[in-house]
Amino acid sequence: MQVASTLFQALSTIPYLSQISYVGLDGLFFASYTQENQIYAMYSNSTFSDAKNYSWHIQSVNRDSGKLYGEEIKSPPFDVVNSTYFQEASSNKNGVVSLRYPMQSLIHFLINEIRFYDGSFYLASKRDGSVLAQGIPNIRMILAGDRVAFQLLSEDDYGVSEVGNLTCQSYDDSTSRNYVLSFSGIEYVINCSPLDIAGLPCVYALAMPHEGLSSLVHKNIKLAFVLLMLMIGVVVITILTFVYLIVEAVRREMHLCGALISQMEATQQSERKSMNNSLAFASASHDIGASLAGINGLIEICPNEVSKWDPVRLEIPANLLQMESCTRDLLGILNSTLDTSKIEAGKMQLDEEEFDLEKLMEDVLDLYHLWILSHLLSNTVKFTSNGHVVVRVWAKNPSLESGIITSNRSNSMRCLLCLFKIQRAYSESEATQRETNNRVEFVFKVNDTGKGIPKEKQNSVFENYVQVKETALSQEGTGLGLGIVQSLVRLSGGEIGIVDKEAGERGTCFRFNAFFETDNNSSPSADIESIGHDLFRHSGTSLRTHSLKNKGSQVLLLIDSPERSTLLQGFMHRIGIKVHVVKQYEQLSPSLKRIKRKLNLSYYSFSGKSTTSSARSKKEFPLSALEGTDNVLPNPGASYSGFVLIVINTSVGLRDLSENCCSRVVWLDSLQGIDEDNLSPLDLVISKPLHASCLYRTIGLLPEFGGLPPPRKGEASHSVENIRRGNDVASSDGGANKSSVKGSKCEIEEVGGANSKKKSLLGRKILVADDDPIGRKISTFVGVQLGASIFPCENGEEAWKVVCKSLDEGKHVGASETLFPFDCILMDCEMPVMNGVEATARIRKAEENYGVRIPIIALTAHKKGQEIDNMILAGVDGYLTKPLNKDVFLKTTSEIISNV
Amino acid sequence: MATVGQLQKQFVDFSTSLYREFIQLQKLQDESNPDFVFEVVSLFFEDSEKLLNNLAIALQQQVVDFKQVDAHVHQFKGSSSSIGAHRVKNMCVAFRNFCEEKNLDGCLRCLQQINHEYCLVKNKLENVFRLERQILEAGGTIPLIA
Repeated sequence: MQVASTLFQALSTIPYLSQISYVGLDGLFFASYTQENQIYAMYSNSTFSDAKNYSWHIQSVNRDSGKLYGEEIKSPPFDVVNSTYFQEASSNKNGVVSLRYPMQSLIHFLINEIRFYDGSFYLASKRDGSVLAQGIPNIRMILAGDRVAFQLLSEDDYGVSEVGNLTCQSYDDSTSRNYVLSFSGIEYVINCSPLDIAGLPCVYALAMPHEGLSSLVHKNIKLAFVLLMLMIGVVVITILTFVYLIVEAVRREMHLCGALISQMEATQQSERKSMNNSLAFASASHDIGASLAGINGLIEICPNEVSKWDPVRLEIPANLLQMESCTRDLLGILNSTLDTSKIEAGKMQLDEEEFDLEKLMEDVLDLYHLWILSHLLSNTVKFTSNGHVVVRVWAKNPSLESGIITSNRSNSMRCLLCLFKIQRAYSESEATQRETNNRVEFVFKVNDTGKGIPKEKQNSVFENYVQVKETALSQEGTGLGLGIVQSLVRLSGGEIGIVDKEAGERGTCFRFNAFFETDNNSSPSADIESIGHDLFRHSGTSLRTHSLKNKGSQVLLLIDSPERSTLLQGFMHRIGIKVHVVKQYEQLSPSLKRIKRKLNLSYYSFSGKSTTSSARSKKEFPLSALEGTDNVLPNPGASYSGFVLIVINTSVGLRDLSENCCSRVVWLDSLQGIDEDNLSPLDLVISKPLHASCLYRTIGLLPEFGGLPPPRKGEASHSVENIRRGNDVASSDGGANKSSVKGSKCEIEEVGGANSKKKSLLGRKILVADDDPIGRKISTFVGVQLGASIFPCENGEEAWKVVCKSLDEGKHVGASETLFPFDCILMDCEMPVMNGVEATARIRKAEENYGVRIPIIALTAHKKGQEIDNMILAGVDGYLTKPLNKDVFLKTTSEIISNV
Repeated sequence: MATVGQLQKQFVDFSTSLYREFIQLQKLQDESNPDFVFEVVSLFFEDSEKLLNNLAIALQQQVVDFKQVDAHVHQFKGSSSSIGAHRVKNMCVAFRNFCEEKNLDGCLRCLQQINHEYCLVKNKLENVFRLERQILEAGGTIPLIA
């Protein structure tokens, strides 16, 4: 069995082997062979000695494991017992292994090897002369003994021609003899020699093409050489390219360097030039400004001269007027250019100053909306489309209330620029002295819905002297606005830019931010309130005392823009007014009725209260009186509770709402001009936008804020004044309403009002101490208008002396004269020689001797602060701020005088 | 030529936009003395120009007499506050602070700014008066400002 596995192993590992067999002693036999891809094993079951049973068996073998399987086929043993081969093997002590190769596979192997070198191989068996392998096609080899003959077969297989005949024998020196034969034009080297393959004597002939091998080598060398040259060529080209590129780069760099240097020189030069330029420019424009001022002055003088000497020629004054406007324009241009040059020359410094943002915005709008409006007026046709400017302010600090201040109508970009400029001009001033590092970033957005700036122009807008032609409808100005604005914004550490709008929106939105320091001293909430108060005090109606006390009045808003009505609502709510918003006209009268019903209820509950209201509240009649019921008597205590102010946009249409008594109607005009005849004469028409001064005027209509309640139609008793004046014209609108309707009607009112107050200070003597001639003039004028006699003097010392003198005189005269030499003294705070504080103190001291106390009212230019505190310490009884307001003056003086 | 109505509207708007104090000044005026405001304002112009001139001269001296400058500024402040030009007045306050510090640079800068503000206010006032005149010429009446 060991033998069997070894044999199987050999069979499956040795290539081309087809049979391997082992012959042991005495005819013991085992063989493995391959037949048609199936391995079989053949073995004998016993030795020769048991001749009777001696038989061979064939059984198939598993290819992978070598195990026997399948049916055993018994085959009669060949007659080998006597063959020499077997005998030899049997007699040998160890047995014999024999290998069998198939001839064909061996020959194939050889031929394939030789074909590789273009050679041909012939093999013939010596034993029977048969040719085992034929080499070159059409050449046949025939073996005859030791001789080998080659025959060329013609193509039709019949003609055979002898080509060569050569001897084939082995030589002793084991070198082979080569013969050269030529077959069909190709020379072959034939090597012929006998060969013994596994005991089979053969003759082989090897035919190689003449010079075949060397030509092969030559061919290979040539190919290699070409490849080498190719490679070298590529390398050379690469290197050359590389070098070229480097050289080129260096050259370019040198060139750029040179260009840069020359450019830098040019830049420096131009910088120097422009510096000189702007310096020269600044000084030149200063001179121009001076001369322009001169020209202006001369022009102003001229009209008078002309009218004196030649009153007939009217065109000269007209021309002069034109000249004046021209010079004014020139001055404007000059100023704007000066601003830029100032900033460029670095001379602009930021002065920091406290400011109130909300107030600032109001001021800005107040200043400029008229400018815009006048602009619109002169271009009425062009500007009727509904553009409007929304100014939004919001602060990142949440404690500062964000507020949208107002909206405005404009199509003109220039207005925006101006808005910007002014905002900046104001905004740049802020408080610095504080060391607190509490900086707040403010972001301003200026938004308009006008024509807008085309996107590709947006970058150039900020350049000086560039105007966007498509949008600048009137080519006025120098195109410096935004440049200046940008410089200013950058000065205060911010950045300005145009914000991209969404696709559908029109117009442009500018945005800039700035960093300001905050004033920690005042809490934000207090701020807002004080803003309100301050503003109202500005409007001269001293609303402060009234605000928030009376909740009676209500405002009804009917404005088509929701944004604006929200704004107004917020604003009014803050100062304590009830606001109702109505969306459409149809809702107006129901909601009005509702409000009135409520008011009626509250009115009756109010009626018992005693009030300290002034004389005008006596004019108020309860609503029921209007309805013709007499059972309710006019009650002065009714106060203002029945007042409704209606604010309506004219776009809803004009209607006479006067039947809705107890209300004032304010129409918001949008410049188209309205026919005022359609309106009740009491209605007030205010041109848009409703903000700043217009807003205060509107709010001022409310009784709480100093406005008068509306007079009633057909009301007779209240027009006492009218009767006294014998003036029936104003019977329907007799109230001396401060916030009056414009037009000639209200003039009559005003006259009536003035008359009533006119001589309220009649016979009073007032000493005015003011160093400023203009101030003196105004005080005197006001005093005289009110019927008082005024004694002016120029400084504190003078005043003091006058007082002393008159006191002295009064003493001499005795009790017959009035006790007070003056009913009142108006004392300016700051005066040369002797200021108000000292003068007051001295007068107080002097009075002691006489046992009198003359009321002294301080006059000051300041709103509040140290100065007034000092004056109060010195002993004044009250104070007035400049400029004088007649009503406030009257109120204060009469109060103080009556107190004494 | 604009109609009277337009002019009147413009006038009202312009005056309201001017500053609140000016309206008060205007309100002082009545028919008995129709030129009162004009007189006062012209007086203010005269005075101011004189003062500004004086200030400019005073600040150009070799040795600046700050006391004198201060006196001028004070006077200017008084007159501007009387007329209600509060921005000019505010500038004056700043000016006086610089005077106390004897800060010549600050003074000069202030002077320039005051000049500027003054020009602005003057321009506006003149515009108002011009409008007034135009209204009268066109046969209208001067509207009253609320």
